[in-house]
Amino acid sequence: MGTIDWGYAISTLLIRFVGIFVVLGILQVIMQITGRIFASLDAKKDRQSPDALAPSKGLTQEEAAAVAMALHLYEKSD
Amino acid sequence: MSWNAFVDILLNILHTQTGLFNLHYKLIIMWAIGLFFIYLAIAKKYEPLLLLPIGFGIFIVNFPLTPLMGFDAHGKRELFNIFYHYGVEWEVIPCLIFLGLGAMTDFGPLIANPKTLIVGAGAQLGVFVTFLGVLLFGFTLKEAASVAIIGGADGPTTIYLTAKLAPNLLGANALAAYSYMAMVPLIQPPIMKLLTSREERKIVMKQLRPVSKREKIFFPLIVVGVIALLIPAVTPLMGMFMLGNFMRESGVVDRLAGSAQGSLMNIVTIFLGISVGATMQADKFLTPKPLLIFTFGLIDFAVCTVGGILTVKIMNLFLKDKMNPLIGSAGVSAVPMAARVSQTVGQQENPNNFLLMHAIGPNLAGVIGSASAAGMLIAMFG
Repeated sequence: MGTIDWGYAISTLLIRFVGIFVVLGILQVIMQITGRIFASLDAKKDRQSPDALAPSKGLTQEEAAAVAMALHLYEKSD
Repeated sequence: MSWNAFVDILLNILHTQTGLFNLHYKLIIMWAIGLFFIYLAIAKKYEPLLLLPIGFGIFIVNFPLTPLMGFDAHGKRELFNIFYHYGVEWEVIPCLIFLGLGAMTDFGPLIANPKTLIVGAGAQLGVFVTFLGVLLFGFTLKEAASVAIIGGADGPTTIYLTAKLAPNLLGANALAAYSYMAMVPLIQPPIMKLLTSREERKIVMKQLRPVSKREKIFFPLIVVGVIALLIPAVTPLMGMFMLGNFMRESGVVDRLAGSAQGSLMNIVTIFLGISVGATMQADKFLTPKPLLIFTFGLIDFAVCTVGGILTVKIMNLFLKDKMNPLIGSAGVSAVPMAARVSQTVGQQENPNNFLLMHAIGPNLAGVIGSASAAGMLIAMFG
């Protein structure tokens, strides 16, 4: 224990912990930007081809609830 | 041949070629430990895919004179030693498991709500707190790092890091990680209730947006690019994870994705379990360290849970659409068990609140977060 440099251990640990936030924060920002880019590209594509089938609007609240419940019960039954 | 000579030969055979006269109480303790984990796997269904082969490995390797984990007279590795050397020491198996996990995982909920990545980071609090705590008990820096990652609740990451930094603790660390992952439904709910008010637990979150196929295809490329650039030390693990996911989402190599998440995953799981169990030989395992590892592993899990919940609460101070703090506990990874715990605890307050899909986001962020933490620790001490 006497050989451990506590100052070094704590400070470098703090930097690394903050580092994880920075890395995942950067990832979050990139994901948000790319999400918007893809959304606008999809919207543009939809405008250009009005005859195309309407894109899925996702699940309704009730459908999402039913899927979540089914998954939950399925996992529980394992 | 005289009777005495016959008895001498017989005794010599019994001494040198059977285990009968080489039994020791420490070996019997290890049998009990092995059988206990087999019991947990079969009777309690706690992570049976891992705990069953690990328990069997512990049991069988602790019979005297068994040619399993050593070297033969010609210096060649024995059977389990071969599995361990090429599978774990060479870090092949954890990476292959990540390949299979990637092929199994739908990152849709995380892509739809990237804010939850921050929750995955906050849930690594325990890793760093435990690191300091373990150092106080005489562990070396590398050992402390390997014990600390247990709270990340990610078995392959724990094994990957421990094999790199402190292979002598591999058995205890892997067992603690998988045991506590299985006990998430017991460990987390009291902490979740303690840290949240009834009103907070009732928060209904906004429905997740649909995620396009194109976004899902780009996601693994973006993640691996960012991680490889910022934490290169963990690229083998994250690279395989994202390769598995890329194969899945591309939709053009279904056979490869199917093999990665099916047969390959099953095969490497067998070798991983048996290799980890085989490292737990009585003379190496029966020391105070495993007991400390199990104690700190539990504390680690608890602090990681606290970290995730507090991160959501802090984020809520700045968010217009509030998040339910119960999903913060899923940031410890332990996919999908921790997300199911969020759902269960949430429904106790509001039976019409479905948090499962919302909790999958931080759950997956926790996998990336714990791998990032492992990368940071490898960069520090590797």
